[in-house]
Amino acid sequence: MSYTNDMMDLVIRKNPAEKEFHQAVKEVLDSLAPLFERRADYRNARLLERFCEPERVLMFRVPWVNDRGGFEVNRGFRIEFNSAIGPYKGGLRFHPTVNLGILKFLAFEQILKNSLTTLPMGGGKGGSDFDPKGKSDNEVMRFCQSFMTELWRHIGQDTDVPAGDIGVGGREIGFMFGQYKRLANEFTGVLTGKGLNWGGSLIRPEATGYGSVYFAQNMLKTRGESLEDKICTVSGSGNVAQYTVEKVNALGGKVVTLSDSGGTVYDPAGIDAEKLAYVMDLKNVRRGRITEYAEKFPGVEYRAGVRPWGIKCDCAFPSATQNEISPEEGAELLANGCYVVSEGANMPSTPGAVDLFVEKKILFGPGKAANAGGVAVSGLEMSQNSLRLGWTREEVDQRLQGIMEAVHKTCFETALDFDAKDNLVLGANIGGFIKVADAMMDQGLV
Amino acid sequence: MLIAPYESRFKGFHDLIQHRVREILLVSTLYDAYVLEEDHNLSERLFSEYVQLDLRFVPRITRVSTGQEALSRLAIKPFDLVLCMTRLPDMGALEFRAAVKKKRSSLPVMFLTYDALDTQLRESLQQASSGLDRVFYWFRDTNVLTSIVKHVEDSWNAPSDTRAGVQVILLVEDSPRYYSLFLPLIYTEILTQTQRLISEGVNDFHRLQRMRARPKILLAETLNQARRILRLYRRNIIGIISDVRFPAGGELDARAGLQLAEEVRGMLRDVPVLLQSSELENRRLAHQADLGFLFKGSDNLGGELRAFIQENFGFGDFVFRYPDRREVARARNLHELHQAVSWVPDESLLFHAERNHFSIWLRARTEFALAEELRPKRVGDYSAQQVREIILNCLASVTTPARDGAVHDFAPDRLQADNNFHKLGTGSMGGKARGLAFMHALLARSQLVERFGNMPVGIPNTFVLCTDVFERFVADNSLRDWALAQDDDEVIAARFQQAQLPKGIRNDLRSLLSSASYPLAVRSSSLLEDNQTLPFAGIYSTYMLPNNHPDPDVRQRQVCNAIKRIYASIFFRGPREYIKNTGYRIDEERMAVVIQQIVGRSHGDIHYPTISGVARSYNYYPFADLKPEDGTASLALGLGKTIVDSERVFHFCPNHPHLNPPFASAQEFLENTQARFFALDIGNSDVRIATEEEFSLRRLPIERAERDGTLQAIASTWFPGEQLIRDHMMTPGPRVVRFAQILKYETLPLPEVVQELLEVGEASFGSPVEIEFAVDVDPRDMYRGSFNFLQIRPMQVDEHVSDLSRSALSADDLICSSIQAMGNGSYTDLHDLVYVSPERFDILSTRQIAMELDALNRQFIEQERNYILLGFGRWATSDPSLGVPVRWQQVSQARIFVEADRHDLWVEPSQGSHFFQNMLALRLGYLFIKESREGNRVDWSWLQAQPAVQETEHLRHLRFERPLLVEIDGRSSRGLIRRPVG
Repeated sequence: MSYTNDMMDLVIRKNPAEKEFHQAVKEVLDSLAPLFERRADYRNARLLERFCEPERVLMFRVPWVNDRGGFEVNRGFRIEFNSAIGPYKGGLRFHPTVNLGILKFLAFEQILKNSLTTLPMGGGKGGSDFDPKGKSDNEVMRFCQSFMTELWRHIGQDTDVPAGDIGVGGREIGFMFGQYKRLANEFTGVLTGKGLNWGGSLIRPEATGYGSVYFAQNMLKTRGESLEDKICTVSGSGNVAQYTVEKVNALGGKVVTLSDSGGTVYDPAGIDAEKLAYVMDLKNVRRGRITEYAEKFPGVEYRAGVRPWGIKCDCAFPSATQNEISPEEGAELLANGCYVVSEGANMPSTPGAVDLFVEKKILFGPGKAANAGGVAVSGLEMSQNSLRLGWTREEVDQRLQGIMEAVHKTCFETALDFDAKDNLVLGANIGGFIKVADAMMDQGLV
Repeated sequence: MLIAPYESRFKGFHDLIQHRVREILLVSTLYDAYVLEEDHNLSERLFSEYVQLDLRFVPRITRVSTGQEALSRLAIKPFDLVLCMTRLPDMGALEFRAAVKKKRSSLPVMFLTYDALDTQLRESLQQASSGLDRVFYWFRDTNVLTSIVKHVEDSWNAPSDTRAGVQVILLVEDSPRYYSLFLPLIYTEILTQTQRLISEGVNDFHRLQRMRARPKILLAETLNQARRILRLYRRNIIGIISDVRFPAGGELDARAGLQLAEEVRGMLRDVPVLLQSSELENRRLAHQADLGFLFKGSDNLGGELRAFIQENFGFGDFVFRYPDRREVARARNLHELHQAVSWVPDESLLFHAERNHFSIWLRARTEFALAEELRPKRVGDYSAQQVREIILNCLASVTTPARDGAVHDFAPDRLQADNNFHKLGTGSMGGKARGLAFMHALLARSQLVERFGNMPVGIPNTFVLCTDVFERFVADNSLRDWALAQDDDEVIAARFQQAQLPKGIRNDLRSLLSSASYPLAVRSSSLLEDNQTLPFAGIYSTYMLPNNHPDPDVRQRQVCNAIKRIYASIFFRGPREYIKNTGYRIDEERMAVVIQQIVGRSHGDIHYPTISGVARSYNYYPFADLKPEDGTASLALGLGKTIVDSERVFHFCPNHPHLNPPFASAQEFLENTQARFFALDIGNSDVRIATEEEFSLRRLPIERAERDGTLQAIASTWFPGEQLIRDHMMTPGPRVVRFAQILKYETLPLPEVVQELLEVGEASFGSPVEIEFAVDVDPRDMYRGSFNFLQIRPMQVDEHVSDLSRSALSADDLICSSIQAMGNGSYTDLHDLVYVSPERFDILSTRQIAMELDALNRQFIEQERNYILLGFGRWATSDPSLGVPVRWQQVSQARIFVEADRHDLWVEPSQGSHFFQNMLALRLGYLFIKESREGNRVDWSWLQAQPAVQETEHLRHLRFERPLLVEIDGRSSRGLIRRPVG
């Protein structure tokens, strides 16, 4: 039996009833099979046993008082999974479905995501089964303060730096930071996602969109090409999509589509800066439907109920949601000449579509690499906090560009190393792991 | 619970004068009859006086000639009063009285004598214990007769009516000759006063109230009787007119009147006492005691009595005088009094205040509550300025708009700006106006109007055209039968437009419009509308008019056209189907119309309120720890159409206004916030009434409201770089309309007002209620606003609950299941199911789907069958990109509505649209199916595999031999539809 198979059995035995965690470990181990064929030292060092076991799991009671004076009790978690390459880093999730298995699964994935950015960030995740829906601001504050009253002793700018996730936005980060500061009596970058005038970083909303374009640019560079004059399709019309369009335009490409749940707009003339400003106003301020774009600008076609993948293009930037490219749509993309797909959204391509892209050897940037921009800016916030500096928009963007180049380089070179040129899926999976694994090897049995 | 104070203020006048003289038996000789008949025509006189006073019950007189005849009549008919001449042909007066009392001991017997007084009779009656039976002197004036009737009624009703505050005049007189003289004189004065008050009454009810609340006269013949009356009614005594010499302690006492006056002064300092005597030396004694005096021998007895009453009982005008009696000013009514009090010199004001003239005058005008408020205050405790303020504040409570709570009859010459609820016609005001009038009265009688200092609560200026106007219009133009035979709404509307409203109505509308120079909403208010169990929400139309055309004729025409359009809509297909579904007949329906000021401000070419809202005392979708009974409210910027159409608006719980809506993140907040609002277009004054209510409305982005300055009081800003919302607008950025200033930072007490109105409404209706309102916030000061109540109607809440377990939803034989179902119980008679084919559904075709449904629904109407309707997105949405935009009549035969989601159409369940209200009222079922959630599913493959009886481009109609079973558990919100058995 292989090392990875043995490991899977062990994970299931040691972590019964944590199905999500089992699944995450299995997927990673499967993708790492070629690596373990080469690295006998890992097995000898019981590296997988260590890699699959969190360094520390914190589970604690979070009591708080609701607005009616009633007592409430929630459960808080922090999974400090791996700190081989840097302080634990990963979001906090407040959602009623939160449990240990889910957070371990998320923390496990976070290790590899963070590693890919090339920034010194380990992997962690935390949260609570607290449901912020329908709570008053004061209730949320009281909960956050109670949550941090326990968590504060376990975190720190050089130890563990939580960020936001589902149910934890700027409001919650603010409440938790305030309580941390009060308890620790220090102002340090212990959380990311902070307000801009108290330690937050610029470019957060832009990072994921910009990042996926930079990733595409780097992919094209391997073929001696650039985004210049490329016809690009973008799905979605939210943050990621909008900043994808902005960066594609900046790099000389032409975006011809955007979409929402109602349908797709196809603008053969391209969505230029002026039209993008309209979209931003439409979506961010007026919260209108994308069909209004088609009514506003001449020569635009609205395709109701369909996604943009039937439109001829060179590059596709799925930036809307999960599973938005079915195998059929993937095939249609390829048939229409598309040869670059850079995933701005989380897992937008179905497994069948991913297989197709890998098989046809197009330039496919999987989400864990192509949308690392968001995580990267979190890392840049930590850097700015450590330096006691606030970088300008341009400085952050420049560093983001550098990070995405490094992410791509890791993926690309790892794929090359494993005789799978352009298979950035393999490159991302193995590249991210090697960095952490080798650090663990270097640091001895800890 | 705050309902008690509201309730108690309604009690009182309804119960006044419960005991009445309806049947009089008059016993007189032929000769007496002849005298009465020839000289005075007794019946006619009685009748005319009652008509003059607008009294509803004119006594009927049955005349007989003999005692025996009278006794026979008494045996077969219940009389309330026996009037008997002292001379009877067959028996003596006392003998007759005894015989009557033997039959009915409580029946009053009053004797009339028109010549020399029968001393024996008088003494016998005085000795009798009955107390009420008297002999009256007949001055050949039928006023005596009416006075007898009133006197009997007053004696009967005094114990109960005085508890409601009705006043009492005590007449102490032992001489039949004089009380027969005084009673008619005093009653005449009361009549005059009452007629004055009636003419000032704002409506029939108010007039009736004032008439019934006229002062009563109680007659005492002895000092003991007088003392007893004083003891019983001391708080109600308005004045005393007393003889000086009358029996006291069984003996005739020459100073009894003075004794009585002294006792009165001891306990009722300000009550005027008039002594009357035939002995002139009593004048001096009276004046010494500072009492009024009337010489019985005076040639001008009536005139002097009248002068005293007017001067001292508060009857007539309020005459402001200096202490030296010089006249300063004169007030004919409350408004004039209010004005005069604000400026008359201190010495005059204090002169009257010290003598309680204000409270006396108010009492005499049946303003008992006001009088009670003033009476206990002692002038010496206050400065002149304070006295003035106290009186002004007190009077303000009845002269300030909306506070009287009454619905005023419309009269062009009396259209006062401070009366803001008028009606025209004598029919019903209809459901909507009824609710409004009720709340108008409730608000007025509570302290709610001014309790929330920076946000007064009121009702916009309202004018109601009662149902009789509709009936006249339809009858005059012969429209009913014709309209019932028509099938095309537009044909009906066109014919109604050509017909003329009655000329008087058109004139009245013109008068109204001459003073109403603001935008108007013309709304239906049908008899059945907003019925306790049957909300007709959204069935009839509302038309909004800018009402700003320079030509008054055009404005009048616009309003008339809107009215006629609403009249026509009773006969439209939709309402007719609806009425039929509810088990009513179309001929039971009548239409009143409410013409109401549109709340808000004008901003350039548009007009809108800062906030429109709908609140319900029962919440069908309680989230977090909320209970259904906590209620819910929805707020929107601009006109309420945004809420009615179920667009994105803000929902909150008035009981817990700090709780945020159930959004997982600030981003979700942003995605669900209101982006557009409705405003009235006042840029085009030449509007033409169209089928769609929207003809005069504009749907605008919220940036427009930001430019208008209305957004600042209600919106927050999204900071994308920080993923948070801050509750201010000092920074540019996407605005989030979430009313945080009001709900979190309490700039206005809106949640408290809503909560109070819901509580009061629920207690008043005895069921959960829904209210609509509009709030106008001062753009320069977000801490100032006004709350305008627009509508109240009962909500339908099922109490019966059927039990559906979670596991039931996973059975194999289900067509669909939902964990967000509404309605309750089982439906076992549905054989038909119409669904939107998932393969053919296209969001661009939702309008087409609505048309196809219309055609199918017509077949169901003809066949009198019902069906289950299953489709994607929201039924009856006004936004075709959210679902199928059907109107009620296009799906009138559907009994179960299923809303499913799909990958490209993700909408939240509809909450609280009018359509939704109707579904509940008609006990229809509703299932919301979000297939990604556990417990929610639709077995599309099974449906697709069933043969269709007919198919349209987008719809499939399945019919089953055995019924489909629909079960909905109202308590757990679970619902399912089972395949037919077998």
